[in-house]
Amino acid sequence: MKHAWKELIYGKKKYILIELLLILLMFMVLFLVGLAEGLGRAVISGIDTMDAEYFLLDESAERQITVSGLKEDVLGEVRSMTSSDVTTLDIQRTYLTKGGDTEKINAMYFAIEPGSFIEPDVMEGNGLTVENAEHSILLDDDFKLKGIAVGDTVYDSSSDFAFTVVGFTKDQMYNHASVGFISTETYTEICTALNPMYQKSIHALVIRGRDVEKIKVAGTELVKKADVISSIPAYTAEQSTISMIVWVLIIVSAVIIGIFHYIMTLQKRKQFGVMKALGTKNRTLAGAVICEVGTLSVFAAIFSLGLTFGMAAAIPETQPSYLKFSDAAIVALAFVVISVLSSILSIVNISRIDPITAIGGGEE
Amino acid sequence: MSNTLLKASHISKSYQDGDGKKEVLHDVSISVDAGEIVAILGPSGSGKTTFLSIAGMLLSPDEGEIYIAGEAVSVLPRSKWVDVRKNRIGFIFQSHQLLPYLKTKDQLDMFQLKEYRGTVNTGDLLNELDILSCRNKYPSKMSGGEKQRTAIARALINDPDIILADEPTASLDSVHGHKAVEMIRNAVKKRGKAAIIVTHDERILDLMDRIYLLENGRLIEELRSQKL
Repeated sequence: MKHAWKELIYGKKKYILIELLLILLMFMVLFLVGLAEGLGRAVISGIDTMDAEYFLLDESAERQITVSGLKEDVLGEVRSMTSSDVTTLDIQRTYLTKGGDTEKINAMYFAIEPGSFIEPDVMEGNGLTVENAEHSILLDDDFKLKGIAVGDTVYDSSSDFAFTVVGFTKDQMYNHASVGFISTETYTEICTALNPMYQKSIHALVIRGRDVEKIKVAGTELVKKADVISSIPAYTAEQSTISMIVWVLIIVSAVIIGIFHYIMTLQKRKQFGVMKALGTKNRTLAGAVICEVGTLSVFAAIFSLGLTFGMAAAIPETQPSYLKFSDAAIVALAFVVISVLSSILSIVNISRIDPITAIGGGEE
Repeated sequence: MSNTLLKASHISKSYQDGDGKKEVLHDVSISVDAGEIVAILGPSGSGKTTFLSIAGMLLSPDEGEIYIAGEAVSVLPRSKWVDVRKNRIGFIFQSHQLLPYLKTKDQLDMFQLKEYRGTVNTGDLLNELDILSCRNKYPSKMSGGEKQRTAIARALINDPDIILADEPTASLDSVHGHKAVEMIRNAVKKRGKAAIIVTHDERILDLMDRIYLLENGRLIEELRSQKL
């Protein structure tokens, strides 16, 4: 370790350049992970942040909430079967307009029972249970970027139904649209206004509890939250493509780092030969290389994490970037491990250096 | 009782050369006693560096054996050679071959075995070789003579039985070259060790106790110092 550190200090100009390269490679991967995660959050966060464990869906709905349709009386039936918390959820795509504006804002209604366990935390203003607010709507804070504030009136563009914005929540998106929470009652009113023949049904029941195994309703399927998320149209395909890009980047970066270390080893062949001639064992040299690579990688991980979170704070809020520190730390740790593994080629090369190179080959 | 520290007995070595074999050493026997410094002299291709590599446990002979202080070391398994080199042989290479990122004291500390940390004092050694002022200098900040003296100090740091020097004056002018070899001689005499110096440099031969002449891999003459 001491030996590796002395070499790093002595060759600081060279190693700072290598460190810069490592930081940029690691930053590129972390930033892409953040963007990929942000894109994923834009599809699932409304469901993912929901304090729910299971969803009861129509068994022919292929686990998609928006395709599912349950009869109204299923709610009472399920509540009689279980002591778990049970509530209703309807999801509907829509367009909202701000009073006086013509711009249509892509949005997603989450129709819920006000005050139920799936109503999100309020960041500003009030929740749906606020009194004296007829037809209230609780919006994701993305709507603030459109100039909407608490107390404003927004309109459903297809029915001209008016809502009072009672508050803002955050991290609530579904299928690339920001979510507006409304009451199930209001939702029924909108549906009836658009279609007088509307027959009330429920997209899904949301369940949180222990004895969910008691829930047995013909024609329905109890689905875990994770399975509902992975069944959101295009989500899995989108994420697997992005994951593939990220992993290819990690592997390519590891190969680049491995080649760098290998070239440095080649440059120091004579030096390693001298050390071996003087009695230094292969394992000591291997340890020095691993320490050197590990030190460079750990510093690169620290700096690139700082750079990534700094950049995430600086980019516009409209950019879909989301990176939890724990996820970023896992990626950074994987990068360090892969970097150290990439030095194996150098270590193999060092073990093959004949100490006779120290005195010029012995061909005389 | 014999005081021979290095004995090379009937050493032969060949290399593959195309379809055939090229013999670079043929039946070479050399011995060096404690307190003796000897030179191996010969033109390029005479086999002197190959001999040094075999004596230094870097290369195995095809025939013959190497003894250090009476122990047959060339018959040891190759995995043990690194310990023999570290414990019993001090190397001085052409162009010093110091590690560029270590200061003089670290060059010595890095290769000093734990058991010699109490007996061989780095400061005394540097003082003896007149490079104490270079203790905290990197090789890039030292003169050629200082670097070669640091290499000599490194060779002595584990109090080895024998010193093997490969063209130690190659990168030095005649004054500094002569001085460097004089320091090797003094260290060998003072400590009762043995040294073999492979060289082309005839200006340092006055410092040798004996000289072996090699030509085409054969020992053709051994000169005692009084005949020089």
